[in-house]
Amino acid sequence: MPNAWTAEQASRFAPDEASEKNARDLAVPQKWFLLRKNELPGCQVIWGEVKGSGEKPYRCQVDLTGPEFNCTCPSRKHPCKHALGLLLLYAGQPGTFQPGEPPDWVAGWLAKRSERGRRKSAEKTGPGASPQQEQAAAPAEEPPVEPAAAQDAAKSAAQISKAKRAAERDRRIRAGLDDLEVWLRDLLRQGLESAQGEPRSFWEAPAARLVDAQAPGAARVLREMRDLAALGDGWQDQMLLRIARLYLLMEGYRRIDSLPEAAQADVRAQIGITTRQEELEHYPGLRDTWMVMGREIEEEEKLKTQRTWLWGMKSGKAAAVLSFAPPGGTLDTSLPPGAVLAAELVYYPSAYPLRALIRRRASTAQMQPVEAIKDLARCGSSSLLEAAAGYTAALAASPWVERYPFLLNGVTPLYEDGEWALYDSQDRRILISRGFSYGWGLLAISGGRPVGLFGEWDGSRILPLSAWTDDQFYAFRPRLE
Amino acid sequence: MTDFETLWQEISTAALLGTRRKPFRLKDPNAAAGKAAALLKTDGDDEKQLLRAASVAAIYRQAGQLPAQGSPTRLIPCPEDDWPRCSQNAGDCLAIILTSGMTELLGEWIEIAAQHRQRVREEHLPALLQQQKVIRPLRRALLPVLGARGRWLAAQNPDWRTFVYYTDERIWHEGQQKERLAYFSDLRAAEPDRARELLQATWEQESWSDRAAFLQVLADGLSAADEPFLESALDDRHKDVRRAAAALLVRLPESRLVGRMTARLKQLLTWRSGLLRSGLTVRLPETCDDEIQRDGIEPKVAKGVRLDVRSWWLAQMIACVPPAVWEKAWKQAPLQIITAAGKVECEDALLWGWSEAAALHQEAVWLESLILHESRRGNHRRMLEIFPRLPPAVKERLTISLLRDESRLTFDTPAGTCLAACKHPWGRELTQAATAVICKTLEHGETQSWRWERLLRESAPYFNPELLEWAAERIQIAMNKAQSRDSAVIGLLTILNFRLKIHRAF
Repeated sequence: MPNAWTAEQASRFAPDEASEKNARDLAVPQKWFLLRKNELPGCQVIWGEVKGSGEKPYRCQVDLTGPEFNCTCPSRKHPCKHALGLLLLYAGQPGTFQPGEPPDWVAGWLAKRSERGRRKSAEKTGPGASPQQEQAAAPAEEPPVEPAAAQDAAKSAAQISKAKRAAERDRRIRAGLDDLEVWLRDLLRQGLESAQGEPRSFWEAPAARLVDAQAPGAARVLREMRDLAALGDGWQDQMLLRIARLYLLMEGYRRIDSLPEAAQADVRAQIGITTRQEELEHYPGLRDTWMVMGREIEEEEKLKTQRTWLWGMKSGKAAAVLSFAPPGGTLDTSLPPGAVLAAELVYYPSAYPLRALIRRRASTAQMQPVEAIKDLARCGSSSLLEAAAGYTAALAASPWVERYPFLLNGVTPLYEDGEWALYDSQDRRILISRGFSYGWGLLAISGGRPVGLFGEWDGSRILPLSAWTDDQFYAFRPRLE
Repeated sequence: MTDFETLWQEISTAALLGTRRKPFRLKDPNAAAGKAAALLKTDGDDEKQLLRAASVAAIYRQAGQLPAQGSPTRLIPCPEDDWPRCSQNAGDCLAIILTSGMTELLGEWIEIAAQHRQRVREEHLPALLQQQKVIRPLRRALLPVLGARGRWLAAQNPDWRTFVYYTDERIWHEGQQKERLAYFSDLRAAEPDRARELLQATWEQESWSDRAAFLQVLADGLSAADEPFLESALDDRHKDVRRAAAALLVRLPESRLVGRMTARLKQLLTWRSGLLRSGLTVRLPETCDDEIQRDGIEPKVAKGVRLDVRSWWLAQMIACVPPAVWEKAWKQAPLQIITAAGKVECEDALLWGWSEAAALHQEAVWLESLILHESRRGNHRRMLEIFPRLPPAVKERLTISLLRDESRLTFDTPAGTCLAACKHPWGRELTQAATAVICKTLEHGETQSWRWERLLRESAPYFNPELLEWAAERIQIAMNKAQSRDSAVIGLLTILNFRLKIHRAF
């Protein structure tokens, strides 16, 4: 594989600006005691040793196929400046890396990674299971093989205890929801206006109660309400919407057995019961050519969640692939916006499926983004009314859809009355999210003419994630990156 | 209001106030259409009813919202792109310059882009235009590189609005101060006389601060044609305007102000030629009257100048007269005149005045003679004050000769100080000499102070672009040989390599 890396591509993996700058300072051969590269079958790796703060140099390695980064330094950032610097240096001056056999510390890391790769092939983490625990749990050695009979016995024993655990959790959730109902009734008796002035603990206490009741999803809605209380302008409507979602969730869970299977899945997901990846195995996949439309990162209770939106060029379906990272952890970087890949996706069960995971990935860069742009014109909505109708259908299927993908063709950005808005050809208008900081960039891309745009619609505002003209695709960097 | 909106208001108000203050009963549950109405049961207590009604209605409302019909003020779209956008790599370089504080390289980026007739990429325009402080001095070079799109974008944002080409004189009469200033500068560059006439026409209505600011623009394309107007501005009501006018007139050797000043000085300075004793006699001015003050002489000694008040008047007067005048009047070479000053009491005043005047008129022989004279007096501080004011070519020649004698570069030797004063794009020879001495210093293998780091960092933007690769290679080899990890040199290499990357990205 030729060295196709450019410094720009490499620096996109920087967790923040400071890291990028520090890494650039390290991207000079003099700072390194050792610089080596090797081409293993299907896996190109570079490694090096760099002076650290202690006596021993830091050992640093980058698997270029991911890329995946690893370093012995204690930095909490990932990739750390050393690993990123190594990649930057490789991008700029590949000649300074001498070919070599990977020493044990490199080979060991690669072996561990490819084993873990086999185990989970994509991602199976959810907000409930921290990726860190998972990494720690990934053992270096296989468990010993047991005789078949013993295995069966162990299996059924495991199933029994699993059922017991599920029943226990169900009991706790129901008790938690009963308390939630009492609290919600109190809230409405008191009135939202007076609740607005309450301290954080007013919202935090019932949220914590729901976390204890193993219903973290419901707790999350309460925390949203806490943040809404601090907002002005239109907060009541947003608050009532959250109350509605909580109430429907509460009622839905109480009679979950009477709901259709897909709605049951939605209720479980909203409560915060994670669907394990193995459970998706028997679901049919969807093969398509997917374009990566954009990413957004959110942080809640120190857990970072990245949503990467894909668009199926043939199916016209959208899919959100999630990745989670605790403090210091890394988010999946294998789906850069603008990339086009042939892959089989499997959706998590839902009455309106959006969340998905990649089951099999055939190839990347099968199509140039510029070619894909032409296809996008056939995919999206040509009017805002059409797009809104899609949102209506989604909410009708599942009232908990929070962010709905809008793929809009022919919208024009405009700055008016201190706000950014999008207009369609019929002068229908939607507002752009206040947190969007690339308004002027979007205007520069459009030049006052209609553009294609992809974004997340929350029912009142759109957060643009990417925009395109006839010859260029632009992705907006997530705020938390 | 539709029936549903009435229902929603009812629910929303109830939720805001709370059922404790006002009991809740749905007036008309059938206002919500279809299936939703069926869900609005009226059993249960107040809170239960409100909870249920709010839940059904909120989702119903959320699902049914339609994008509003607007009446946009349509923008005139951006004209066709005149130049193609630069490569992704070139754009990434620009982004690095802007985000990592290497703005000293922005001018070079702009220059290369202009040579290739390529424009800034759309996505980088806001980050660039936001750096108003950095780009304001580069405005004229930047304008073409912004491309039709960048200039269109700048016109949409009040903070960026001066980054456009002005085609309409109306901006002079209707625009804001900074737009008018930009318009005036552009016009002055293109049609100097027309600009002056425009200013004269509105002169009386301008505020004093605008008058002073506009006068400063006249420095660009200054000619004898401006003299009558500037002479009249010496009688302005405001001191800053008078000072600005005098500062410009001093630059015109034929101006009446220079003539008056020369006549005054000829009363005070006399050259006696004799076989045995030739030399300079100086009489200090007696007063600093209104006439002299009108010509820009400051009666009070400026801060930081160590002269008595009458010497100060003399020094300022000498600074107003091109030094060539004295060569011609006394038929003496600059060095002789300067040496003769050593024999008079007010030597410091004479030297100060001549160095100002020589710098203003870029009289290289005078400046060099002044440096030589100060070195003979042992006044190194003054030498180093005059050196940066030499024309670049002379600075380079002197610095090269100093560098050749050095076995290592330090900040505190004359060679190092002179190199630090060469703040202009270096020619090939100076680049080679500087590279060679940096390599020699590395061979010495001593770690140096932060000032060495600063010297290298500040020099990095001036290395000749054609020799970037050569210089980086040489320094790299010297580093490897000396097994050096000198962070200052690594910093220098980083910038040299980054500059090389910019050049190759186009």
